[in-house]
Amino acid sequence: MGFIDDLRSTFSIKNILGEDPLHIDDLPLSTVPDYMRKKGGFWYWTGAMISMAFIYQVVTGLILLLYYNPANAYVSTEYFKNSVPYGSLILTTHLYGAYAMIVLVYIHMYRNYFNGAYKKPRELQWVTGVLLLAVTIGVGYFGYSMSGDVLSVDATDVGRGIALSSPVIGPFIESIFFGNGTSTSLFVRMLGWHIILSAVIGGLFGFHFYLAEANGLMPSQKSANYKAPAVEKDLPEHKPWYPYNLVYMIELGAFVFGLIILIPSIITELQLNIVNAVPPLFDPYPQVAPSSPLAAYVPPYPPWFLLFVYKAVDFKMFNAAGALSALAASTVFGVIPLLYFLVVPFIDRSNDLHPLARPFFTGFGILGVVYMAILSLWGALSPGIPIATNDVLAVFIPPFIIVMGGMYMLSKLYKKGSFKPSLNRIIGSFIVFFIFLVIAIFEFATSLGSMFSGITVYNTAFTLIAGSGMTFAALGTMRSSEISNLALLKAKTIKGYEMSKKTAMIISSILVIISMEILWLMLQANPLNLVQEEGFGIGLGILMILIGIEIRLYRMVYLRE
Amino acid sequence: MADEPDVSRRNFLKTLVGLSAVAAVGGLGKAVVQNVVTPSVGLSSFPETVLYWVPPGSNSGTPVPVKASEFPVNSPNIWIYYYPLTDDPNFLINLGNSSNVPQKISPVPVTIDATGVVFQSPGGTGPNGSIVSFSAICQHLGCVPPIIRYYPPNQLSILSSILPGPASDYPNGVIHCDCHGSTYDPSKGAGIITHPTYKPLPNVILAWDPSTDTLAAKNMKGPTIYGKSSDLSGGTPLSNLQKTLMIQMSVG
Repeated sequence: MGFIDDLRSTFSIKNILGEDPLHIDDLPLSTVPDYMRKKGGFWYWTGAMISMAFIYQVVTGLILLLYYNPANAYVSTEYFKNSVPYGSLILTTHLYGAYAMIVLVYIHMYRNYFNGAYKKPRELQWVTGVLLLAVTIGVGYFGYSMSGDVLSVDATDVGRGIALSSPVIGPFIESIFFGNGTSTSLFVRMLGWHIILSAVIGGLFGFHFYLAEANGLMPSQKSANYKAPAVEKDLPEHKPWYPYNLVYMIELGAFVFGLIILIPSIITELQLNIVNAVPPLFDPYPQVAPSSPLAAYVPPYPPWFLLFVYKAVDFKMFNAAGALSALAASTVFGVIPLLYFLVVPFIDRSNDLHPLARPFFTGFGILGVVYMAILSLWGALSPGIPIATNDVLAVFIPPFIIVMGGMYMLSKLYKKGSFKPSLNRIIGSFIVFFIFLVIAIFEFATSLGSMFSGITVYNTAFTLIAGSGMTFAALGTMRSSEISNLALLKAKTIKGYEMSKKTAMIISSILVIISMEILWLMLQANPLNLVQEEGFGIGLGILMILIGIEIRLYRMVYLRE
Repeated sequence: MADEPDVSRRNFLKTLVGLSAVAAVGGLGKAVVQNVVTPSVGLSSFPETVLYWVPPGSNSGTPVPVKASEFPVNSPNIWIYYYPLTDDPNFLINLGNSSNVPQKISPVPVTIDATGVVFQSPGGTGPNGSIVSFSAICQHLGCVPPIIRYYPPNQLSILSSILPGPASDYPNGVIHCDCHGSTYDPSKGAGIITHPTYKPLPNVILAWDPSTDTLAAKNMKGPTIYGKSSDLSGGTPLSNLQKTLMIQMSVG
């Protein structure tokens, strides 16, 4: 014992590098209240999750850069996928990592939007965030266009056309972003802009993060008393950043990286084993080359995160703009919403944080989500079919009336003091509302649309059914909010986790044994066999998630969180 | 929390997390390393490749197979062909004496100084047994023609200060590299005459077909081509494995 202790003290990091060699104690990072690390606390860390996804994208992107050849984009992508060890795994997780990042950016934005986080003192923080959304979509677009498959060619042609149709500056934009017309020039530009814009994300993120730290964290609405400015900075009752936040960040990172690797591996494995298991929009692999005879069978989809603009281009009302119709559609549905989000902190100057205290802005946010979801779904289900203006109005007006009317009534109740649901309850019922309403509205609109071209018993009946479903969804949402409100009043304080040290030891030991077995299985996989390679990915994803669970147990038992 | 067993239990739990982390990082590291190692390209065996050229003075410019009996003796210009891969240049030299009479070259043992390994040179081929061929990349630090080239016997005066013996010691000329001064003996399997190289040039084994008088490269012997882990990998195979075109470089 004495000998081992001597060894340990001689070779301990403390003895060699001194106390705290990484200066963790000197980090100028905010400390946070305990509830942000408890169950459900991950809602406060959506920004951290985005930056983890971004790190994953940078690392896998740089590996892909070692193999990408703009003079032979499609061939080099297929070569990487089929002939480079673990190429398929890296390619598919890079694609799905991008999807994860985009989804997380939207979640982060809407969370902060409904929270009123754009208000004083965080106006500029919000503005850089909206810019980050735009740049992230841009990086996604260029990345999607790099594979050189038939869909990427469609996507670049559409982008080209819209850029060219811009008055005066069109040819310059087209030339700057898409090159001189040769294939090599195009893919060199795609690669260049993909990397340049990623670097812009890095820079803007640095600024965004600095502002976040400097402005201090935004506490829960309740502790801010629902009023801006909501700032909570390094209070004495906060636990220190190290070890509490660091360990939590590692746990969160293990889950985020684990899921980013696990989800696409499972999807790709399904796609490899079951024909057409994955809809083309979410196909983890590039489609066929544009020169292939099979190219005609690939539905001409844009990346799913641009489906909403894609559908808007089909609206006949933009035909009035003539040659500018596509530009007009993407301006109305892409640029104008973006500008709205950019300026919202300067329009909504009240100090109210509660979503129901600012019904107009909350309603606009909900409409943004609903419209985007409807347009995307519409684009996915009826790609490229022109839509008459009547049908567009039939789809767009009902959600407007329901949402704005509903918000008006709810906010009246709220201001009278008889309706006080928590934010979580609103989000919970909102999700139900959202899913049901989107389906109902879509069905209502298509059956109503078919009534315009000829009334039959079938479409009349269906319109009525879908219409009542829509009304029911709206009413049900209000009712469910009320119920959740009552439940909230009776809610008891959430019990902390209690677990004995012995149980944690046993569970962790079992998890480690499982980890080792998974590693053993992973090492058997042939890195050039697509099926086994994705199996390796599934194993790696699970390994990381197990680490997350073990750290969670450690925090529970020894950090008492 | 201060009691001793608790500290060791806490460390045990930390160790468990560490073990899992090692498993994940191990798997991840294996994948990344195997991925970034560029998959090798090349051939699985040496092809038999006929040498083609556009004969000097030809009007048509059409490549035809090299006629061994027409290949110039002690050519002052450099003749290069690529074999076994498209980035591997080799000399083709018809060795003669100072009066440009072709000399028969016999196989000899050649020592690779760097390793001490001895290999038997293939010797000369063609109607007079005088045609030899070596990799044209210097084994010292990879210089290529025209910096490294063949000096016929009547040009040896240029190298008089470099060669260790009188010009008469090298009746069939030498191969010399201007980069750092390595010199090889083409009549002795491109063995080392002067350092800094510690390896002879790799020898190409040629096959001469007496009925058609054509030459074909069919294998390599001696050290590995400079800058490669194997002669058959690290480059693109010829687009047609049956033929390789010779190019002529004139020397100032």
